Amino acid sequence: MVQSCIVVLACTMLVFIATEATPGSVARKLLGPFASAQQVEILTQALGLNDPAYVRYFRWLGTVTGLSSVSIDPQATKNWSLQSLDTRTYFGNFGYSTLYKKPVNKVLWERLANSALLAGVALAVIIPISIAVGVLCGLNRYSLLDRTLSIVCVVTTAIPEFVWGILLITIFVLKLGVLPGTAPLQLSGNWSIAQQLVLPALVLILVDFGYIARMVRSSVIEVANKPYVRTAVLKGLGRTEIVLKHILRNAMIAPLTIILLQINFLISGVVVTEVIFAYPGFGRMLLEAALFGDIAVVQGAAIVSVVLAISTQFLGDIGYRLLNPRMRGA
Amino acid sequence: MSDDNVHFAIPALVDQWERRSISRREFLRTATLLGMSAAAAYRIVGLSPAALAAAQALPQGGTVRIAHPIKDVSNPQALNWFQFADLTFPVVQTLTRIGADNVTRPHLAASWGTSPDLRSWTIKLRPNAKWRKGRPFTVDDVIWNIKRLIDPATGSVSLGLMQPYLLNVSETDGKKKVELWDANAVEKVDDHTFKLNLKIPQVTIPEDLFTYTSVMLDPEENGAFGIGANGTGPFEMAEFEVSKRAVYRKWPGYWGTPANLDVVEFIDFGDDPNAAIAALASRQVDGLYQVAQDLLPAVKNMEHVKVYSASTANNATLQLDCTQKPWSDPRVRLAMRLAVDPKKQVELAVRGLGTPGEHHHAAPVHPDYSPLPPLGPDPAKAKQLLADAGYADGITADAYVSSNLPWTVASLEGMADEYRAIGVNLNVKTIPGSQFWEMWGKVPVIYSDWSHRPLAIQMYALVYRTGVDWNTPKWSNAEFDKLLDEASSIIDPVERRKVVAKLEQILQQDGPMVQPIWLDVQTAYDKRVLNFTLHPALCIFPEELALSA
Repeated sequence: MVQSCIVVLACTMLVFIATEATPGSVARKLLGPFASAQQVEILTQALGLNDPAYVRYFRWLGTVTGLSSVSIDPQATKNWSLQSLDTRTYFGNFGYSTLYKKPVNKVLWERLANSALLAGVALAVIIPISIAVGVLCGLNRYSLLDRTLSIVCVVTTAIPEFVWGILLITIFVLKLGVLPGTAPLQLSGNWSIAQQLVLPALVLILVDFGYIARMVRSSVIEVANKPYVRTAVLKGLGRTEIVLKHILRNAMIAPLTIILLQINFLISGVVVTEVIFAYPGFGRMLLEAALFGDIAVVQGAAIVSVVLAISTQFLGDIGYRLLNPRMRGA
Repeated sequence: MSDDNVHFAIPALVDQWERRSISRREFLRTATLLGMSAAAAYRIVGLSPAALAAAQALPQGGTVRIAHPIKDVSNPQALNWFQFADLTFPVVQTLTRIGADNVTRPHLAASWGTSPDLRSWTIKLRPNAKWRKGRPFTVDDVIWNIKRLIDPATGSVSLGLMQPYLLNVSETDGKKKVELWDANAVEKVDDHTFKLNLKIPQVTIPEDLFTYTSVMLDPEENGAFGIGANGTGPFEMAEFEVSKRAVYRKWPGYWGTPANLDVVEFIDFGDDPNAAIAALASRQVDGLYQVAQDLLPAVKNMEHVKVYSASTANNATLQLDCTQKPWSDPRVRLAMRLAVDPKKQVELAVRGLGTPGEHHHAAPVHPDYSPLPPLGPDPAKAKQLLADAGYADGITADAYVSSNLPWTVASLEGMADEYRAIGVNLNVKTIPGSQFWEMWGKVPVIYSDWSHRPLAIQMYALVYRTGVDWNTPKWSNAEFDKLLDEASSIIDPVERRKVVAKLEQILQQDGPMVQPIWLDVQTAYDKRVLNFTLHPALCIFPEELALSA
């Protein structure tokens, strides 16, 4: 846990340094290109943007951890829609989004929930399919079935997300007209939210399942050659029992890491899919914020991503112990 | 002049129309500008205002959804792009409105008139106009808004627009001080009449009052704008979320003709234009803000969609900082113009959906445009000019362009190819839109787009007059400024065109920019959306729309 906190802290410093290097002034971004230098200066002062980098870093860290509050001269910002500036003191206050014009927390968690929804739908299909395909291929290695499924897995994974997106839109939206072309998660044009989720989830499934299936296949082949499996066969155990009790359980240890890594990817890394389908997700938010130079959102999102990654690895550790009793004492 | 009388120049104008020495559009524009009602002007040219007649038969109710970027508009008087006025116009209004036909009509104003010397404009407000929260809209509201517009703290582009004829600007210790040039510059006559008494003659006042920043905000709410904000417009803002959506509900008690629709919704589909097209294909939206040239074939294949197209004065200019070498030398700037083939640019960058530019920022759609002989392309002469200026070995420079507009990127890359032939090595730097506008006015070479304006002289006043904010190349030409003042004081469109021709020539020979393209704009709407007209500035007036059953 302490190590995790150190990792998060190190990441906040790295993110802060990286965002420091982006060109442009935050005040200018708030006020727009035609604001006078005088206006930009007033807001720069009000937001404390002229302070040294380390002062701003610790001030920001203090706000995030709830040790200090945000203070700003309301007179200096009266025209600039900063009324919703979150000046309360609490743990997890990521500050104010210059892009979305509201506290980062009001954007970040909503977007994270949207991405989790999409990731959940995709994973609900990816995990059973990829395990089934991987086991089938592993148990029938070098057969026609194995070769066919392996080619499918390699091809679907090799095709980039944007190609799948355009292909699926062309077929299901433009040609057949049976699905909506975007997923803004708003009820419009008689398309339900569930219908809106189909195409983006399908893209993620197509891109991701083959990779996991290939990992499961390799792992199944490796485990199937272990002496204890040979012993189980010689003992006369049934095929189903051997597969479920002796192969699958042990073969899942390596793919578990891959599956957990996919959670990180599906929640914070599917920018292309989210942009193609106008999906209001976490990855698209991060991209928009980075392009706009919305440092508060980038910093908040980066911390959440790191916490997410650490959490999934923590879950992975628990999973290993459940699957492999020998690790329980480690 | 009495406001109740016809302006002294109107009879001459009618005579010009009858002799066909001016076009129908020129007559309509100028007559309405001088205070004649649009209906009367249309009658003189033998037309009835079709939209008016059509509106009476339009179906009522329904929701229209439009794919449109949603940015912060909490300070409508400090907007930076016409595009985002679509998010404020449903609620707050301007005194005048320029229609899709480029004709200026009264809006919150009922009528206007001007003195013979064009230095005094009398503007009457509609007596029945009122705020949604019940208070009548009066001259006091207008004066409060004008004062807010010229306050540098507001950050409005209207300040630069009004500066030449309404303001005195001075600078002490780096702080800009702005005040009305005369205490009586904005004069209240009564609750519904006011006068603008100008420093210099100005013919474009009614058109300037339609600038997207010149909206009337409620003084009682201190100009605050957002969900539920007071306004005089036909809608109330019900929902607003940056980068997501904006929802407007009909105000049934609107003082004018109430909107046909119950709800108008703008939805932001992000930076990928394909997403909006996909949304239109699956009827998630009923219309688009704009269709990029390369996506037009996809839209044309949709059976339920109607494509709209218009020639406009939208364009982009390669701006060259006249205070920095080598661009400070007029020969270098002229060489840059001569090296470019505008016809090739139109074909390559916008797939033929435009008109070749002439490097003087007056478009063929402008009523005051005066055709000049084409300038170039002449790479040999361009090369010679560079040699004469001492750059025989060529020039290397960075040129910035925004990634938000793919056609400007394609155009700049095309120009960079052409410049290699004369020894100019232009490194094209494509940067995100948000960062691009920070660089605007700060880097020596930048390719930026310009919205449509109804008159060339409006554009000249905004961009090329010495010292105005948007003159980022810091170009200064005393003769140009003098001729611009002269053009701004001429009512007769034929006479004004003669002066504009001189302005065009100055820009071609000495100007601070290269302007290769006039852009046609396109958009697409579901055929169920009725009464849509494509405005050359791409303005959407939702109260005019209706939805068939």
